[in-house]
Amino acid sequence: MRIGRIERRKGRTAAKIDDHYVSPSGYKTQLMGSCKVDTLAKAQKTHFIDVMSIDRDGLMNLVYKMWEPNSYRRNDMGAVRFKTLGLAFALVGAASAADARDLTVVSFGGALQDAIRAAFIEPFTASSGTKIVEDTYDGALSKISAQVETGAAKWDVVDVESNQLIQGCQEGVFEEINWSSLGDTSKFLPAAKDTSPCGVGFLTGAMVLSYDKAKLAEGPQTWADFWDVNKFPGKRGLRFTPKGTLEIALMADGVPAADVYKTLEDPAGVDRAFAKLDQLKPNITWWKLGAESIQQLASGEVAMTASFNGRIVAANRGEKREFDMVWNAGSIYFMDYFAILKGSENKEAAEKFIAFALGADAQREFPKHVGYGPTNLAAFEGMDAAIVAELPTQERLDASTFRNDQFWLDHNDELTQRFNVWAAQ
Amino acid sequence: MPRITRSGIAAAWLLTPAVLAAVVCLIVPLAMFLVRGVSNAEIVNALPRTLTSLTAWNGEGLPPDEVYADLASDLRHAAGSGSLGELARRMNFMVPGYRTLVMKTGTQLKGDVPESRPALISIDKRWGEPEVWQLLRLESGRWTDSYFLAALDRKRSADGDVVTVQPDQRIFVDLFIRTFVISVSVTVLCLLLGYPAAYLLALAPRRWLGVLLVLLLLPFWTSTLVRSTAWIVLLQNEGLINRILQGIGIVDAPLPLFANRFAVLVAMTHVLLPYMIMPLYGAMKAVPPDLVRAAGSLGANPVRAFFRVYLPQTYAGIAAGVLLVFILALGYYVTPALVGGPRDQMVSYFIALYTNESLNWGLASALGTLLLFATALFYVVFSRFARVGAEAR
Repeated sequence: MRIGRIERRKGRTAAKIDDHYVSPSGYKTQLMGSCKVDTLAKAQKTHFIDVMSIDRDGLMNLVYKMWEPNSYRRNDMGAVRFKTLGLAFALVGAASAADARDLTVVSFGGALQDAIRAAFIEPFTASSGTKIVEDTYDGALSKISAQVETGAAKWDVVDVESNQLIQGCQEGVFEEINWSSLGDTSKFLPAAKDTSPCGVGFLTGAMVLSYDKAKLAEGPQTWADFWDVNKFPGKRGLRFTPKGTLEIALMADGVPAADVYKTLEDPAGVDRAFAKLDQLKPNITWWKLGAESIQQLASGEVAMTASFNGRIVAANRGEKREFDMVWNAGSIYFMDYFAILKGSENKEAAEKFIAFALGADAQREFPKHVGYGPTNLAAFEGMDAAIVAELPTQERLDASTFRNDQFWLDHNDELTQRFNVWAAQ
Repeated sequence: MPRITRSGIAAAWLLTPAVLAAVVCLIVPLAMFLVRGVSNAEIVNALPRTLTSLTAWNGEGLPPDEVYADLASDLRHAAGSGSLGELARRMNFMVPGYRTLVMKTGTQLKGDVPESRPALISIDKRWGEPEVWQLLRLESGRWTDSYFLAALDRKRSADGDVVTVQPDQRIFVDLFIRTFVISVSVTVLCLLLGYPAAYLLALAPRRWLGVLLVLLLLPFWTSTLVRSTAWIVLLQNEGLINRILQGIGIVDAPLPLFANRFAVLVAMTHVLLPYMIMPLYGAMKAVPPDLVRAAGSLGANPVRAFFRVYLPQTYAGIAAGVLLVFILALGYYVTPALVGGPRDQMVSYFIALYTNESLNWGLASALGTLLLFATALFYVVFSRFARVGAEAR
């Protein structure tokens, strides 16, 4: 079976199979098969194929979409279906008619993606006329590197966390940022620019000590209070991972926020963190998902917890909770970054989108939709005081420590293993 | 032995899609998965020259200058081709911090640095220590056993002997034992609860059977995630059960029902119970009720009639149910992750952790392979045992 040309008509993709036009309306079929990576990369350019999953060694499963013929002349439905089925086996000879793809922005879904849409995507489309397609993923770098390796990228701008950013930049799956395209970067937090040459931080979040003011009038002030179960009875919520937890243990042991990573670099510092965690161990209720930590705090399962400020703000705004955030205890803050996939065919539009998202107006709008702070401090000028009160401001960040993902890239495997051994004892 | 006929061959062609599907969807991915657990490709691909010249080194002190020059040249090449990141990740699995060592060296070599021993040592002094070279010498083959050793809490020392890792890193042997213990417990619980339930189904009059089957199948059709989450609502300290118990004054403080082994056993048994009941029900439907009556009329009391006549006829159902539940339980992930505590996570949790978080696919593959072999071994032993049991009756 021969594949004909792929054409664009009236902005819609039409595939010409032999002499039948198929258009993207209605009926969809999915097929699975497998073929070599390079073959698929070539075929992908013709827009037929939506890769579902890829194995790095060369064989892949694929799902492709095909479309119902609008105006078939001779054949009945069955015959056309049969011809389209032939496509799967004719991929080898696939024509490579380049088909311009819309700028695609990818984040983690949920409230965060809603905020990105409301504060960045919709205003950007309104002001520039650039159409944006959205997608979601779970943050796994493998999902990105698989696309770049096969040369079949469907995404342009991705929301990544710092460890994936550093790692991905080292492994060459992201473009380097053209900093001059971003306009005025003088008010950016340093970590928004310094973490990696491949990404720009666009939000600040923090793991912060929180408790329910409705249940506890005189709340804890420090992480040492968090450890003090005599003064504040009840369970403590901590995330079931060493990342963040070891830092908190050290702060509870009297290490200033600024010195946490210096201490952890020394093996004795790691021992010290585990020894401190030992003291609290019987009183810890571990959480794995952010939603769990909020649920535990709301139900009174735990008296206080270390959770993400965005989650806490969402509970306060949405469910009218009175969860207080103790910024002065010292938090561990982090950023989400925008990065551009290597070889993106919409690189220029992607840069414009990122520049827009980092502008003071978009950054001021963003915290209205989700409880994360801006990385462009210019956004704080003229921001509603009630919203500023919920966010990691400059002073609050000064009392905190920036999560050192370079440290965690080097030590995560070893410390996760040790943490799991410790937790299971 | 059936005779091979022409029509038989023609009929066999109809199996082609099934055979192809098995090869493409099962055998090929499985083989690649197994290979990943022993493949040393990251090192071999990134450092071809270094590994060749290292073979001349006897492993004492530091290697000669040529090895340094080859390493610098390999790293410079790797930094240009993008294989540096994979090498860095691979090296970091063996010694924490080697990621930075490799990345830093590779990145600096992109500039105008000479390919020599002093240049490498000035980039990072760890190149002047024997450890990294001994490690490279150990891992210079096309294949490696380090992932499988790691999956059994073992590693190779500098002189190549297999040694146990330090106590604060020992986790996997316990993990396999724990996975096995949980799976056996769940299987036993399912059998104890499922047998009477299946018996009830088999005896139920026709008009009740439909209702009972729906009651059985309704949870079966509900997502595992939903059912596991429901147990959180019931079992946690502020959950329904503890509230009721405290409300009617049976207990003062909440009972520890959640985030422990109890919760895992309850939730997993609940999720897996239908897999036990269905084969049991099938086996029991095939038992003629006359036989138990006949045993009674020949003088057996009901207990004796059950154990001597009824039970042996359901052995096939028991074997199928036990096999199904045990094998499914071995691979369980969501339920223990949701309702269990740190002491209740099973092998799959760590496979997911190493696949998604640290991208240590070699170790994930080794763990998966060991689990697969344990399952296969169980299957072979158990099905033999079940056959012997069936023949003995």
